[in-house]
Amino acid sequence: MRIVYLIMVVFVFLFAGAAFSQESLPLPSTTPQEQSPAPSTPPQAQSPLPPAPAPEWVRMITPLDNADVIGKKPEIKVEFIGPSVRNNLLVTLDGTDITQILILSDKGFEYRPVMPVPVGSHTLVLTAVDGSGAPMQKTVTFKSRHLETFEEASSNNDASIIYTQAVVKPKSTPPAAVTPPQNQSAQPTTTVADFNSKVEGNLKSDNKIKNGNWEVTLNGNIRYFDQDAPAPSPLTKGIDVANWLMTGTYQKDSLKLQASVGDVQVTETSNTINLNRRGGLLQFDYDIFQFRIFNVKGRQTYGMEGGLGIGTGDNILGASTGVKLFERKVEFKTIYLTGESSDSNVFFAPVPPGGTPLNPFGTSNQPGNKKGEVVGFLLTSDFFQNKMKTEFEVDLSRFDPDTSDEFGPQNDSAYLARAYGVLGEHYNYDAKYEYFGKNYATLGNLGAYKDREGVSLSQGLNINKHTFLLALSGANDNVTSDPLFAKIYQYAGGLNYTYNGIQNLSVGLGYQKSLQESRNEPGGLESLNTMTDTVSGNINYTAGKIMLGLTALYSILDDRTLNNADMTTSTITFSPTYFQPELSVTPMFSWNSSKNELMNVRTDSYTGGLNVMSKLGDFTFDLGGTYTIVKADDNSVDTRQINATANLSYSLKGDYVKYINPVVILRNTYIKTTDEVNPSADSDNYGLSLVITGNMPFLF
Amino acid sequence: MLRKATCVLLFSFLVIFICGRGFAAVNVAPSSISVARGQASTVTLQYQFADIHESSGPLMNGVITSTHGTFMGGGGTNPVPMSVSITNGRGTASEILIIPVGVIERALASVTSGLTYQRVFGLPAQIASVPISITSSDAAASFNVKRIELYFDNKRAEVTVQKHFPNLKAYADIRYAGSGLLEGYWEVDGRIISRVHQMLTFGAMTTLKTPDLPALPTFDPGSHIVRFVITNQGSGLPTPALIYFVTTEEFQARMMELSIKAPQEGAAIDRNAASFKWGSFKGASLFLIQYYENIEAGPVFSAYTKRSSYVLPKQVFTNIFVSGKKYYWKVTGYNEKDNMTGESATGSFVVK
Repeated sequence: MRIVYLIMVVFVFLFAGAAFSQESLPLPSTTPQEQSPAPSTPPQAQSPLPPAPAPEWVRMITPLDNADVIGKKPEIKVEFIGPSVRNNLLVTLDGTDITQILILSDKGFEYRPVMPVPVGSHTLVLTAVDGSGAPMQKTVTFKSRHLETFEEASSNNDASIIYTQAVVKPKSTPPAAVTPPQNQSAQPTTTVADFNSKVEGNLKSDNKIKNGNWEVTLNGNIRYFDQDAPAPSPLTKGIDVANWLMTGTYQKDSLKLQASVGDVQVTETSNTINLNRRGGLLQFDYDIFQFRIFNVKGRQTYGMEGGLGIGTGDNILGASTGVKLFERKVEFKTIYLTGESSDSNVFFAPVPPGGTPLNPFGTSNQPGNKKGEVVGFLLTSDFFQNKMKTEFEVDLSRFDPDTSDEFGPQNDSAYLARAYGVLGEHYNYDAKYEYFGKNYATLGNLGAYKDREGVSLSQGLNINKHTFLLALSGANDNVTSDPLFAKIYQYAGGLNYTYNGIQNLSVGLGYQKSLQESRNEPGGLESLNTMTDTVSGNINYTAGKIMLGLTALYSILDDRTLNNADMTTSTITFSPTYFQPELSVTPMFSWNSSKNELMNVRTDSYTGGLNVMSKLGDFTFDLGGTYTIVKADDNSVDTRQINATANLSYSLKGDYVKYINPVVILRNTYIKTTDEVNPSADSDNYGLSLVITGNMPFLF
Repeated sequence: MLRKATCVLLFSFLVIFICGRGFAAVNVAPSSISVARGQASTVTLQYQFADIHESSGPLMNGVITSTHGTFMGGGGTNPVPMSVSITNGRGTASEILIIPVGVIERALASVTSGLTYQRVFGLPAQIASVPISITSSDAAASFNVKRIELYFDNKRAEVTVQKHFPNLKAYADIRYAGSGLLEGYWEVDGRIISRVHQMLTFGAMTTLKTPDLPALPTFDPGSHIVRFVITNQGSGLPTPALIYFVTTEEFQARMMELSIKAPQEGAAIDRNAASFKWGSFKGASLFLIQYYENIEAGPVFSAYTKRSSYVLPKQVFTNIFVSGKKYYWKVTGYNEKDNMTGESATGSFVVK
């Protein structure tokens, strides 16, 4: 497969090189710079007045004309010569009127920019009229850079320190709400309240240096966690680098070279790789060419586990090459990746005696070390200015879902054909055909489909205050028509409608229908025939500081086989909100009823929530609480939980603490669980903690 | 003849007695399983024991064990032992059964789409067996969660946010087999935040996200652990977790809307009436007003002011704005620390 990939890479470059030599030499007239949107800052040299020669009426103290200034917010100082003109003065910096925020006096004015000024040239224009009404103007240009050594350099840091001392300690950690299987001792506890004292710290740091064509950024968070009790999984004690990303970029004309290491995002296609993982990414762009290499961990990692993430163990390695043709309206890309991955850091590991079960970090999957490789080919086009874009993708995989057994990897393929676009101002569409072979899989997206073939069409129509969205799809499995298995067909359709014709009011309605049926069942196998209908609606109303939201959903699954395993579920949620900067109150109420017709069991869930934030001077009060009831009419489930966390915070003020911004918090936590079916799970825990926090921002 | 009939009768009683004690005494739920080919599966099995007797006759009080399970027709074993406490002849137990992909492939290699999982408990032997049918894909398999991946907006399982950050969301990509009702709840530090009830069909993937209300709490500085706990079906998957850290740095006040008061939308203005006004609020002490020819391009002119109004200077109006042309404008508010706190909608006007 690697040979196929190499051949394709060579082919891409040869083909692209030919196209490039025929069409694009010299460089195309439309350069990337010309295509990029206009900067959001005002035109720098635009003057509100026509040039008007005038005698000197002001003296620039700083900056001088044509000066090079060092600083992010360079100070401007001007002195009036002769009579004061402060009453009819107009001052613009890079096209922005700053007159009203100058520090003015009869002798002149001073100004320090509100926001850091961009590196480069700036124009300061002063205009006024003299005593006779004649216009006067002074224009000063200067250049700025942040440091002598670097054009641009910034380090934005913020340190947090949190000390927590339990005053009233909860009796125990809250029990899990589910009864665990016997050979998994318990659901892991996730509370961080089971301690006497705890210290946490975090240093958030965003750094950037830029000089000429080079730019380097380093962003990350260094974390410290310690408490006089075991750390709840997946947290770990001690100092760690929770996340980080370092990127170096060289850019000149059509050339861009970028290297990243840390928590990198690798995005190619959903059938090949689309991950954010620890590792390295090297990207090279030159005019119409693109080349990318990546080496990332196969699973999510926390802290410095796995180091840089670059290696050959539990890693995914790959490369992609792309070329843009026909005035960049067509792009052809090839993608190759290989590696192996466990996908999760915790499987069904036995719990050590007296230990706590572990929470996998981020991902939980079936056990088994997976190994595989994929070659993908992607052709995209946009010849009609977004009216019709197309995508064609072919992917070939070789995948072993469990390297520990005697079965080796198997080959298979996936295909995609897609057309989508926007017609006029009102209509958009997306039509797709997808095929996934029965053994198709990729390490870059372990949640991808397999053994499926289908088409889908979605269309959106927006007419004045009415918005419609229609989605239709059909698919089947058993794509190889294996006689050992039935073939399952699914047809689905949905229509959503939104009306925005009344001020402050939005109304939405939706209906979805899904059919599934099996055909060609081998003897002895049960057939499948279900129909699912879902109706939903929502109303949102805004009146000043109050927002009201009401959503409702009803869904029924009709099992039309002899099993008759029908199910229904209904949900209603009401959420009013009152918001202003110093006070917000957000209650919510939700009811759900689910019925399993086969078992003739109905389960009702009620959830009430309340979030409050209130600021009064140096005091802040925060509350977050939820009350849930789950009850089945066969008495198999009957649990209630009320939980709340309420913080009363006081910000200490004064010169002696102004650099650490200390806040004293009284943190109250309460969790009460009542289980009528399994009373041993009952708990009633109140905790009170004294928390002292500090915040130290520092910039360079 | 009578002797023969007596022998048959006695033999029948013996068979019924043995079967009754050997097979009817243990039940397994679910009574059958469907799994998809080409991938491992896990399922929770519940064993119920009743009427278990000691070999000497009385109802058992003690522990019976099973050293391993066997995949009959799949050529493999489950080496995990099980022990069951029996009291007065009754007991219950459960196990998370992992069906390796190799077992499924071995069964298919023998051109069959079914196998049986069997466990033998204690002496006298109590045999529990569950038929397992293999399906082509997830669509026809028993409803079962196969994989859960949790992440935040940054696509990672860890994020750092400022205190009072308003819109922290967690997502769960859930890959499942079969069709059914998924029930579970989002939990933060052991607190149930919201419950989920969603009908899923056709063995595919769905993405859940934490609700807008109640949102993930960000008022409490420090580390927090988020989980999505599935309650209604025994996938046996360990429950994955996310970590978010709330810093002590306060998030900037939520953006408030600055209401446009003048000129009216689309109004025609001249150089003598080029006055722009907007409503303010506590927390906005500095405003930046920006004028555009094209809202997607940069502004043609802008100005800072500390008031909630701005009058375009006549010379600016004359030299930058063109008669008969339509322009757009909007205002942004900043607090004393120069953090953005408010923004207006985009208005438009025509120059006379």
